[in-house]
Amino acid sequence: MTMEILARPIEFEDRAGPAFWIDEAIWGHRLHDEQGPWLIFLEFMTVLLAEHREGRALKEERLNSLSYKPQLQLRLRNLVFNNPHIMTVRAEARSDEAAWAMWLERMAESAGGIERPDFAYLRDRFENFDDFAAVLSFLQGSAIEGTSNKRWSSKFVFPFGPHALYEDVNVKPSGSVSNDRRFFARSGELLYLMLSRSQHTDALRGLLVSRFLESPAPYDSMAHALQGEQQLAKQERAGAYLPCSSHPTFDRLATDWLAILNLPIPAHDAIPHLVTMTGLNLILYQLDRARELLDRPPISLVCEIVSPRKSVVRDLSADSYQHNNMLPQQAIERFVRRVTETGAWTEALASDDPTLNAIDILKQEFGWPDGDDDELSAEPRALVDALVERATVRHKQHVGKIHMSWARVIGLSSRRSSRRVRYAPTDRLLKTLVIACVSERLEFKDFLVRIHERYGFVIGDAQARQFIDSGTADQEDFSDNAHRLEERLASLGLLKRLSDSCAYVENPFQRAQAT
Amino acid sequence: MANPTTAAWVRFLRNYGPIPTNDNMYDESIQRALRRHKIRPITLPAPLRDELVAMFQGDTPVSHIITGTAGDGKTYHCREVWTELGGDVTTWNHGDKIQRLAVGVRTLVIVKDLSELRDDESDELIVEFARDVGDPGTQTFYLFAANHGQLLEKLKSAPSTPEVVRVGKVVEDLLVTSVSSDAGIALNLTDLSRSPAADMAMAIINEVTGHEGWAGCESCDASGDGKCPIFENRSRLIGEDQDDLFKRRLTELIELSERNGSHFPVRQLLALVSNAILGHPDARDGLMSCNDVTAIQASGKSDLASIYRNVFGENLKASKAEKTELFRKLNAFGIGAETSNRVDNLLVYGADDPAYSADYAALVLGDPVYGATPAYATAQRSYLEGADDGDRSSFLGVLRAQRQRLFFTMPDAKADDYDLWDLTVFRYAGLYLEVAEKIAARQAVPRSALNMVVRGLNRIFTGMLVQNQDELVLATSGSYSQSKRSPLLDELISVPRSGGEEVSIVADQSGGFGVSVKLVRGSEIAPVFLSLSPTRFEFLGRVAEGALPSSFSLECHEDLLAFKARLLRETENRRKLDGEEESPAGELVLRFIELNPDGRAQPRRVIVRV
Repeated sequence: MTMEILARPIEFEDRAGPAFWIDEAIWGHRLHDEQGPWLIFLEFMTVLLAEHREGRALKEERLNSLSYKPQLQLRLRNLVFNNPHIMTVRAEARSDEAAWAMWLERMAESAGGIERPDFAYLRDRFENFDDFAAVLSFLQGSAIEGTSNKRWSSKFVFPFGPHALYEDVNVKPSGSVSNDRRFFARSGELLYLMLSRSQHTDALRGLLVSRFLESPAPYDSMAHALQGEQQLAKQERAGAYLPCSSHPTFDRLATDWLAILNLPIPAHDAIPHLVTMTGLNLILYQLDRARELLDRPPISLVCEIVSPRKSVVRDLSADSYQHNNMLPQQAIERFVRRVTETGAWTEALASDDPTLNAIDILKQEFGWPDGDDDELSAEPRALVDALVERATVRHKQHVGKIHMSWARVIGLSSRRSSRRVRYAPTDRLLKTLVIACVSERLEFKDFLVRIHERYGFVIGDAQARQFIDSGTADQEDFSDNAHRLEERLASLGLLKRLSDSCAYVENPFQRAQAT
Repeated sequence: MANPTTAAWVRFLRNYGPIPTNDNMYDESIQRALRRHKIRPITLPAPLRDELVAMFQGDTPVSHIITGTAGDGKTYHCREVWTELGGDVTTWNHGDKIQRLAVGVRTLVIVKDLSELRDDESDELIVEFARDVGDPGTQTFYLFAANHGQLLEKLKSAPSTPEVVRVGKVVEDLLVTSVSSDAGIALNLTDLSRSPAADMAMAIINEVTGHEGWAGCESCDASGDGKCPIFENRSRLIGEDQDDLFKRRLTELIELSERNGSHFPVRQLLALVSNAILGHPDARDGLMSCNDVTAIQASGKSDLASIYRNVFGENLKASKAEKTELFRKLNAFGIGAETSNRVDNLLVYGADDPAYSADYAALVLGDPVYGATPAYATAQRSYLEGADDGDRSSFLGVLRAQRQRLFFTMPDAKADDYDLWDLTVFRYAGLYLEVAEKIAARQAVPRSALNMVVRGLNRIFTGMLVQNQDELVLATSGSYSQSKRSPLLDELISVPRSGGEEVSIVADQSGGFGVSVKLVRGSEIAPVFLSLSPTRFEFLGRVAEGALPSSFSLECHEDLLAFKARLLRETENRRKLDGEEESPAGELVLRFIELNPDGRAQPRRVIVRV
């Protein structure tokens, strides 16, 4: 079966777009390593809100036609993240009146991206300046990745509700506001498209809209009070591209989200779990598309449940990590070189002008070469080599780092007590897996089977047959590994052991509801 | 020469130990060994046996499943019920997997191990069983034994008739929650792994140490000079009386471990006692028999048979001890590795430091067998005189053994002085046990425990180093509850009884205790309860004290956040009952937590007009 790659959208052609269409054709436009799972979630919410306002949340009229107008909320953002005056004003001002006056004056000068900054409306909203300062401090304290040193226009308040959502932008000292796709690099748009193309769109739409957009926390009104009137971007954002109309990952992602959204917990408590499962599924999506291209067996991730000592499983999990980490780059090369196996390519080489015809094929397939490039060889095979090289260089800068950086962020990989990175899930990830995969309770060995079938995790001996049969590991190595997982889960309150041979993994939230 | 009867008894006891052949793991092989050597079997209290016999003889028998961990005594119970009800021992020993016995007009079907049945055998049986337990007029009753995994497997693999599915659900409920939701099924289940192991440990110690097999020791040459390690260990295990320190501390460890959810089946307790008495690293498989004693005495390494080391499996190879669940559980206390300055000062400098000399004489020199042995004195001396690295590590080895010894022998009068529980990972275990004892005796709980718990909870709830201990500071993050800091105050709940509110430490249903938060006078809102395991108690203690070792990872923290979430739900309910509006229209009222200079949390009201 050949893998699906939809046509490159042409209506939103922008000149600053990618020089060749390779990473994009395989995974979409685009996955970006600097946008971690939290920011992917926030970008997703921004898209969802904009499209919900237009009455088409999670509905794609035509494939890859998404175009939306996100919120900007620059007043709110200036107040929370670009407001260094509070401390000094409180120290200097003698009275509340003086504090407001001094602050308004300073803020009028320093606020960015707002045409005529006037924050005087805030005086009616607070009883005094100190209250105002306390609210700002609260919003700063609950910001997403609040301790990061990103520019102020790339910081985000907690998504309390619709007034607290906005897109990442670049605000120049001149005051111009542009969308440079630095941290909202479209990975959230891809997430939006994936969920729109899943089999569970309707159920998801209902839950997302009702839990996050239509019944916001009271604190959303705090964001509203600070921002005042809602502010939208001037232009529509278009150009997102997801290369397949359906994929098993999309459905699994949607199933995981539904399981989490249906838990009897406050909507906000669900967010960290949604973020983690998004990160995991996107990593698997990247690996799985690479695997399809390379025609390899299903992805597996050998996980070490951290043990105090070096073990066979530790080595195997590091190997497994290394193996998967290389897949995307191998896929890039395969994707380019397979053009030389086509009939068209053979014909081009045999034609009167092999160079010109080869370039035509490359242009058609990859959008490259574009314009005049004197350094390029005239020899078709050399051209392909040059493209592979350039594509690999570009791939390594960002798309090739996704597996590494997201796996670390969601707690899937670690270098703990080892020099090599390996899959060694943290407690937090384990907990999220349990609440996403176990509806009420499940026997421990069935849980191992389930996370193997769903995500390719190899933990117990029954899943590691391949290694045991080939003599790479003993059965005991993996049964010890599973035993460590059992103990971890028990200590996390996620497992109830009935005896040595029988234990149930329990969803703590469903259990809490039952009692 | 050792008395042959005693030697046979020791060999028999040795078979209970953690040795590869594991012969005495199984009721069946024990019966054979007993017959061969004419040894009186070790008999242990089995209250369930008497209950079952009476129940099956009575007017309203109910089918019963005995389950438990491997080694809890399931087969033993089945055999005893069979013989007590008049079953023939020879028939039983013949070994049919399914045994049938007429009790009056009724039939009792006993299966001592469901997993022995082939699927075709069990299928038929399970279908009949499922039909009978659902039939009020049945004359056939069942007694099944199986460990949990086998039981569920058999039920799953049986043909899924409606009756089997129904019974399967009941069994699962009984296993997991101990309650059946289906009154139409006459079936009870006893999980032997839920019976308290501390009492059982005491019974086993008494039974083993008091067994007549030891009689030959009196006339044995090896024990003549008091240096036979087996004899020595047995004497130390008997101790001075029932309240002997060693037995008490050992059962305390078992109790703490069980309250943390690690069960000790009877078989493991037997292995523990056997290993404690017979352990020596130089013996075959790490367990002595009478014949080994002479050689060990001659080698001058009798001190390595120290019963205080054997309790932790130090007589075994490290890999073996780690793989033995029993010792994994006991070593979780870190006894030998953990220490306090006072204890180490005593052990290292005590011989020369006048401040410690009295204690050194009593606690170290007073025990020439396992305490101030020549080996210890030499290692200590060369360590103090600035020996090279090799000597240092050998001294650390003997130091470890001494800390283990002190844990079991430190007199109560000195326990506080030396912070006895600092020798374990659970530094608050002493307080924990004190609370447990007071709760069991329905006496007032020490005030310091409640203060500690409340202060710990407050610090977790707020993510700030608050000092409040006379009120519970219930706080929210405003965002998601996994967030570390919670700057918004929800409610302050009074710890002493006031206006319907009260925070107290109370007993739970399963013999433990926990913290209970009462929010209203009546019963409209049930108190919110959090059971306190030794681990949670320790966690709260460490947090209250201000320092938290990372080994307490996520586990307790998440439990406590879940507890907070339950409290927040109930305070919300209370506001609804009281008819309090959240905020007047057009206003958002916030209460931020501010810390005053002495670290007390105080609310600060902020209004936002929205």
